[in-house]
Amino acid sequence: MRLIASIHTFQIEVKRAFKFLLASRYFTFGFTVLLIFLTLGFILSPFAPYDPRRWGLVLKDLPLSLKHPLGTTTLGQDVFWLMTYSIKNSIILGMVTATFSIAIAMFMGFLAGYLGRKPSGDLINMVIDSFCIIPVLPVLLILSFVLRKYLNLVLIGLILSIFGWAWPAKQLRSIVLDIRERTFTRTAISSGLGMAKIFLREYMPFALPWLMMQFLELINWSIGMEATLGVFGLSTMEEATIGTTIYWAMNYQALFRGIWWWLASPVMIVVLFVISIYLVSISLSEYLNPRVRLSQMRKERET
Amino acid sequence: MESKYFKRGTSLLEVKNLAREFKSGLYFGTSFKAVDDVSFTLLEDRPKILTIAGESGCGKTTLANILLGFLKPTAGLIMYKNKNVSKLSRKEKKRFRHEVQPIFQDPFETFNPFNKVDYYLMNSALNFNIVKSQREACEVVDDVLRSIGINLETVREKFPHEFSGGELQRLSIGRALICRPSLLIADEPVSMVDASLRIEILNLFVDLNKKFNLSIIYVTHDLSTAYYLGEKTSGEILIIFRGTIIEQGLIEKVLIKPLHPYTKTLIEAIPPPDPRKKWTTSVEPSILELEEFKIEGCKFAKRCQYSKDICFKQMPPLKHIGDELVRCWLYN
Amino acid sequence: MKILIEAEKLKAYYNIDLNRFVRAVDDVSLSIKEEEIVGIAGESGCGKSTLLKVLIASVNPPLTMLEGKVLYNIDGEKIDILSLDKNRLRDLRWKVFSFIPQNAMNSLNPVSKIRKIFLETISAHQKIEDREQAEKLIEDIFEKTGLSKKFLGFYPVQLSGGMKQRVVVALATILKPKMIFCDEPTSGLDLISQKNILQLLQELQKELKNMLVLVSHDMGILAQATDRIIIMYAGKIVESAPTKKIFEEPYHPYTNALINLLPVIGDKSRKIVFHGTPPSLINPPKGCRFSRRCPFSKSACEKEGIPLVKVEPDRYVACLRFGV
Repeated sequence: MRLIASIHTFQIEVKRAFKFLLASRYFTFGFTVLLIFLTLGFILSPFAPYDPRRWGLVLKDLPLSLKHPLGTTTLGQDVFWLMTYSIKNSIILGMVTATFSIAIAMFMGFLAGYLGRKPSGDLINMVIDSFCIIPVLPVLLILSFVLRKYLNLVLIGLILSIFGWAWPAKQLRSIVLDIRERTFTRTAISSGLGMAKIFLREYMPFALPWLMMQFLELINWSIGMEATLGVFGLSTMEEATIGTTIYWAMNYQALFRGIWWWLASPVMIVVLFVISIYLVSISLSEYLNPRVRLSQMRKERET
Repeated sequence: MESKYFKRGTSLLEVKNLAREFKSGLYFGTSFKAVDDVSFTLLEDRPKILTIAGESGCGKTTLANILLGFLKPTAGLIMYKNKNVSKLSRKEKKRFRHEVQPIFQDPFETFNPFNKVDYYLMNSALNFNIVKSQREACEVVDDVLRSIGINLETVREKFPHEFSGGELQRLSIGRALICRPSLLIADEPVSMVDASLRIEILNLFVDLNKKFNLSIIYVTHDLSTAYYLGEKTSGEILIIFRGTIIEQGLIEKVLIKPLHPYTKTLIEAIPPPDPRKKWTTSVEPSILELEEFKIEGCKFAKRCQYSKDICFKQMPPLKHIGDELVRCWLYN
Repeated sequence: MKILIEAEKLKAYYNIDLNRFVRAVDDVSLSIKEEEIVGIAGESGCGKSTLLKVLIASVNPPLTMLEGKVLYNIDGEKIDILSLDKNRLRDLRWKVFSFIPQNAMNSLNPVSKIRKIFLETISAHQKIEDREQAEKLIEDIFEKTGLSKKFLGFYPVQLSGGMKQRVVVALATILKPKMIFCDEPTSGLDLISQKNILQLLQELQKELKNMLVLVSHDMGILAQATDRIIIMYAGKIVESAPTKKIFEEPYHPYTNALINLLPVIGDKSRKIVFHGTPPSLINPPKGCRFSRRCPFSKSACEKEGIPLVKVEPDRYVACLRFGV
């Protein structure tokens, strides 16, 4: 019974959210692009006539044409279908990183918030801060190099999560520290609610907007990071990803040789992807701002 | 005074030399005591309304939060039913939470805007083994709400923003009563509420104390409402100034014939709702509150018309004058 | 004494969506004379703060004026300030009238020193040729309000609540306006600071001979500080009379209840509350809006609008038991 009720409430929340969000041009643009990418990546890619991972299936270095909308590479791959696979893999990577990072962040952030200003809490806070300021790229490069034999999407995702959790955890900690002192938390305690319930029902509604924002930003970040790793040749070589495409394109001096579409495609896609996720996330954060949400709820109740 | 007749077995709440120090790093870099040397006792078999009164910023809200267990004191002891509150077992802690209930000042802050109000009401009934089933919980909640002028039906499934401040404050009180508390600690429960609801709530407190033997700690800056409560229930009052008790005794005595110069100033500052009784004296307000907190001796010395040298240097001790306690060099 | 403000049939509503309005101020007329101290009293939601906004022409969406004029008598001329354009209004603001909004003491710019706040306020409303002139004005008002000159170098956060509110009062009075409006000037202040501010407002009034309008729900401070009180309930004025008379013998049942419900030290009675809450202002009932809670109500009370009637030379009541 309660499950049905909460699914129902969730549906209403989602409808309400979209009503607000679709009013914004930025959101609509970003969301549409993402939908297109999702379609390309997950719906279209299984139907690729040429397996993009294999070389030599098509004529090399062909410019844009109807048969090859984004041209072909020096390795004999169709760039368009290569991109559909890359998009799919980027999304998968992004989701892996974001999920693990947020999971770790929730654990560390809530723990730090719960322990508060006690010595143990300060210790956890120091750990969080350290991970926030460690320069990420050098460490990632080393790790990727060391583990290069085993690299696959999931492993890269996990490696990225080693750093991805820090900033969300820090935010979560400060949210918890703030909400802890608020009167309604004390009402909850006096109503006999336990810590778990308090985290779920008192803290989470405030933390959720931030966590969702962070989730999207982590997807963005991981895609960008993977591309960067690819430039160094340290991305997973087995899959078709944005990073590896860039790597091979650079390796074969695509730009110098005039095969610009090989490099331009992944770069354009990364840029579009990042911008769209950014637009979606800022619209979402505006909507999820507690004050906005509450005034939406209020408006609805009055009609 | 209660402390003279203290019997171990019947103590409800015993507070001894409570203090709370804050390190204020903002502009002074020193620490100050928001609460200093507060002691009082409430007996279980003589339920009482105890008023803790003082200006805003005097430390009374800090004190209320310490008594409710939301803040730890830096010195002193609180005993609830003869058990040290800072050393309670898990079970005892739960009992404390059950039996000592808060009522907060701001009804809009009392409930999480994302949760429906009945979430708190039902949980209060279910979590403390007052009832065993949802159905029983609904009955109890409805009963309690009816006793304070509302009912469960009109309140069900609604969010805080769907209520007015007055309604929310009623719900806040209802929630506390559902728990069947032994002690209510109310921090300015009527200051944000209209005149008619104010009296309704005060009347309710009087009834809760006299008919249902509930002890209430009423924290306020409004001496008129404190008088209303205390006069009908032989209540007592603690006057707090900058963290210390400066006068303590029966409300009827303290507010009608105040001993401490600060209490006198405070009472004279109440605007009498009678244009024939206009103010005759003027007051000097504090300029910098934190400055006053740092004075070595009596913190009122700067503004007091009776102050002597010793007032600035040493804090006077609490002394018995009749059955009152006063902290003033005038009486030493 | 000549009349400084005349408000005629004010209807100010809050537009909450296409067709629905909250009738915060519903057909209110009043007039205030120069040098008068008038209190506007009522509980939360009665419309007193909205009325104040209208009286100072601070009507911003979703608040809209449906009807009504607010005539200021300036140098013999009657001007409807609601019809003035922004520039003209700005010319009048602070020099002809000033106001102290609720919680003003918390809206002092925390990153400006007090001196800067004063200088900015002065120059925003008056052309000051040299700095010396402005400093003289500041010195003058500091003396009148009992503020120490060393505060000029302080930041607002360094002052206590009572002192901040004194600064606010000084800011409102510095250009010596003839009309000062205050909305709950003592809310958030403790008893001692409250007394101090009220006494300050009264002293300043004696010296500057300005008209003072005090909006408050606290009948105690209105009893102390005002000559006349206007009582509002659910968007309408129910009684307007000299302070002494209102407390001696309130005519309107609501006024009566309001006054008798005040706990006073020494008063041992148990007060009886009249139940219910004010009606919705979106769909207010016909007839007297207090009738459902009134111990004296009859069927006639619920039929039609009850006008505010002059029952004595200086007294108005909106109740069928008087006048009509």
